[in-house]
Amino acid sequence: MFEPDGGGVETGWLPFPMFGPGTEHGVENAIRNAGDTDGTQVFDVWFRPAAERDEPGRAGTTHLTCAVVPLPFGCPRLELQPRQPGGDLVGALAADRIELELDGFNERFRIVADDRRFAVAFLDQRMMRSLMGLQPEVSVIVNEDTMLLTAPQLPPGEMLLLLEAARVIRHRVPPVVATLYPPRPSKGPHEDRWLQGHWSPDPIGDEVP
Amino acid sequence: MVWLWIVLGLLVLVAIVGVVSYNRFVSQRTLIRDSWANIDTELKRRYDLIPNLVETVRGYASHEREVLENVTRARAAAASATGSPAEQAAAEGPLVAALRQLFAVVENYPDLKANQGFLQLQAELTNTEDRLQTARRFYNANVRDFNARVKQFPSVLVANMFGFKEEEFFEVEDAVREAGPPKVDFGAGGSGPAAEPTPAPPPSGGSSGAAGPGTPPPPPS
Repeated sequence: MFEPDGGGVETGWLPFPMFGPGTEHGVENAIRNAGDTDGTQVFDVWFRPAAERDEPGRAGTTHLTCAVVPLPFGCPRLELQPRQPGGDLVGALAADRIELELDGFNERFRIVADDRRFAVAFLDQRMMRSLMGLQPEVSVIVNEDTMLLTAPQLPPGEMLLLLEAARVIRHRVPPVVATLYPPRPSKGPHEDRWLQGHWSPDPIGDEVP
Repeated sequence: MVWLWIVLGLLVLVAIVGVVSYNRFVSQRTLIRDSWANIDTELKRRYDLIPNLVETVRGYASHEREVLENVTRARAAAASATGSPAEQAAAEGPLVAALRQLFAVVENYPDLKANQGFLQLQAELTNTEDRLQTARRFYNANVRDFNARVKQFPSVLVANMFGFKEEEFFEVEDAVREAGPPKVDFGAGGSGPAAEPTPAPPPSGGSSGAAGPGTPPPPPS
């Protein structure tokens, strides 16, 4: 059963540029699955560069429908961009292109990753087949502990389909990723200790390993 | 005179492309070596787990001597194997078969299956197998990219000039993945970990004329 998320979406911690300080953005129509406790949500978002804030109207404003999926690990950035219908010459010639075992997946998505090893670990065959079931316009971004599915703004019925797709993909994440890329300590007061390399299993303890 | 400059420019361009291609070959080969080191690490991790596993099983099934000795022998042979990735993959085959046989024997000993030490070893071995598979995929992906460049034009010219040859894949038999530790099934009365929700089939492509993520999968059972 789906329900509107009265609490809204906390975008402040989302590690994606569209929610960063350089943009003005707003969230609308947040929906979540009432039975899910993992925090998966879908919502409409509008955003524009902060420099255009004083301009009349909403020229340059981008409207998207996004699904946010919290993940149980901390990982480098990985982006799956749908390839253009006419082919992607630039992507084909890129020195750092990543191609995996499934030809259909390689033809469907352009993989952009800060860490090739993470891309291979995250995109096993089961996950690739799940992602190939998405609508062509849907992009996937994974960064730190969050996965973001984005699509051009969708009608309400299609939003529920995106939410369900996000939930399914969440369960297809290979378990090995969490052991290779363990989660970072909770954000907040102790984040600076993690960033300084003083991470320990007890982030609130005084002892620094 | 103009033609001279054009020819000179083309030669410089070809030289730059050649240097870039050569450096890329070197980078890819280094990446292959690094990714092989990851496989080696996971294989060693597996080898380190096996003696404890054998001793735990021996405590409950000491008369299964042949099976236990097979595992020990196969482990020693695999651990001492050196050579090309293909040769090392071949050495892993008997070890995997022996492990598979060992876990088949374990099925006959419910007390052993419930032993916390055994369960922990089984979980660690499963984790190691997953990590090994990931490392193998990463290695093979790098080899695939490298081999493609060795054969493609114009990088084939650089490869032939400087002796870059195709690398070997690390292929293991399907039995490796199938021979992983069996999933523990505690049945209706067990007190094991909560089962992961059965994932629904992936969403299919969108309906004609509609822009959306497609038909939703059926909810999990």
